[in-house]
Amino acid sequence: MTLDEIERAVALAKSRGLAELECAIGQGGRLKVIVNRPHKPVAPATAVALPVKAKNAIRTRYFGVFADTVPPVRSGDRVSEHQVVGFLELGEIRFAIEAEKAGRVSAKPVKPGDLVGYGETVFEYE
Amino acid sequence: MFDTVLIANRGEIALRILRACRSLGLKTVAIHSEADRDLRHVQLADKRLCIGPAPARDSYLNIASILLAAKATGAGAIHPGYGFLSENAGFAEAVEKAGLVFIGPPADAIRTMGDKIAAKEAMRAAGVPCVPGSGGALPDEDWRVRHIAAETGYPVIVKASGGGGGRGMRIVRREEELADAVALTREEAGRAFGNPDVYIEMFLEHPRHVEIQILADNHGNTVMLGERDCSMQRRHQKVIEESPAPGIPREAIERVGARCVAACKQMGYRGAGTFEFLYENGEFFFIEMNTRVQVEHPVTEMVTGIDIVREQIRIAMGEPLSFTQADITMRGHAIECRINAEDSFAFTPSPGMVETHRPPGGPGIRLDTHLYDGYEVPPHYDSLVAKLIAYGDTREEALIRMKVALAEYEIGGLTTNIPLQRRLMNDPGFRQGGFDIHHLEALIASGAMKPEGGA
Repeated sequence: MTLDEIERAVALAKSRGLAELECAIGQGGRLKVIVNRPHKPVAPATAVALPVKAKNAIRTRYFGVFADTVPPVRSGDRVSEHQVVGFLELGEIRFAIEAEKAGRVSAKPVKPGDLVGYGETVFEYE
Repeated sequence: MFDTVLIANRGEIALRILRACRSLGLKTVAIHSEADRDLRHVQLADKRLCIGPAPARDSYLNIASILLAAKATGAGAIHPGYGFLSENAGFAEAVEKAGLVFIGPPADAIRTMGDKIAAKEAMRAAGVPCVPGSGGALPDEDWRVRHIAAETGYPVIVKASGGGGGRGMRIVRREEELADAVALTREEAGRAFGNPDVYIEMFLEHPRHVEIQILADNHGNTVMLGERDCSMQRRHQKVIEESPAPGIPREAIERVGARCVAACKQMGYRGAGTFEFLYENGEFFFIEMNTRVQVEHPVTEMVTGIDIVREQIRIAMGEPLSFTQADITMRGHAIECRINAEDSFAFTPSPGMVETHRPPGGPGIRLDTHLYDGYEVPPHYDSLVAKLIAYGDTREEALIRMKVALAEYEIGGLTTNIPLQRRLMNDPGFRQGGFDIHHLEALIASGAMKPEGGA
């Protein structure tokens, strides 16, 4: 653990408006950072960085070219929990995209052949 | 040959690379982390792809992802910028193996220069002056280590072969302290760098940091683009850089520069590279070579008129340098102030939202930055957000222009070190030039850099 890493942890806590941050370091060590007063009020949303899943969306956990299942999942279709709803292809690798829970697809912002980045929404559902 | 360059970096240098690519008519791919969707170069690139979450190890340091992204986007070359994977020989090798062009030196050169002991051996062989010391890894026997230290002369510094950037080193002033220092540094080096080798060097008390910029192509042409003085440092992090180095005779620079050129030729170096030296009592001592573009490359560009990043890409395209050593003349003086998102006096990183960005301008002013109104500086990466460069016919003129520019520069909403830079422009030591690498730390320790002193 270096001073730089501690400073980074403090900065992270401040930017997220956290008063206290505890994390595991090295082999079995723990670092606890307590920030007296956050720099300035920070909006509670952690929209920028943390890969928090939007509630009713299926987001990618990798990047690649989007491919449909056969038959394709379309707007209005019902999907069940863990159902494969599409794929991301990268060269010879193919990643399955799964629905985390059951629901009805309300939008599908991607088309087969689209290059999709990490964390992008490929299905919205309700 | 490639027509699309993947930029494997972020922030100001990614934007700098994008500009160089465009000036050569090349297309660009910006890969970025989830925290960096709003970066300026991501908006400007021909293609953009988010390759992973914010932590660098899952995005900018993930070699497999970067190579797959290059394939998916049709990029033919990868520019690594500085930091991240820029000095990772394994990455350079993997890029070439994937049939892509690595915009940088051959992997072997990166590997040799990454090992401090091997680098020094290569330099000695090429006649580049090095700090006196053990030359190689220290032997295990205490008496032999004592003998080497005594021959070198106290004080000495014990350094880890795999270290760098100020990590893994210890100063020893008396023989009694030697054995403990060597044992401790070995232990730390084994843990931190996976290489327990340590070596000894003479410790210089008041050195300046002076570095030589090199460009080498694939056709046997190697040129020296003069020097930069980067002595204004805090904890081995450069704060201000300038070119030329005040008060060092031109002949001395040319002499050491010629040795650097010879070393590059000897090792078959290609691309841009920097030889870092300590300079004390009129002598240069090699410390390390950086096998990538440096943060401070703009000061050299200002005084030589050469676009270093553009040349890096041209060299990777297999083109010869468009100038010879005789064509290069250094004209005027340039100073660069690093603007960091950090507290001026506590030096704590201070990421956050840029509410307003009001850049300075005028004759001789250059600003390399990715900031814009409403941009949020994420907390995950280096705090460098802008590089303000002032050029003048003389050092005095460059300094005045820098003062005016710093006074004008407003980054609303973000805490930056601009107040510190303003203060440093008035520091008598800086104004005079030729100070050593401990100057800023001494100023801080003396209390002269406290916030209440007024900016």
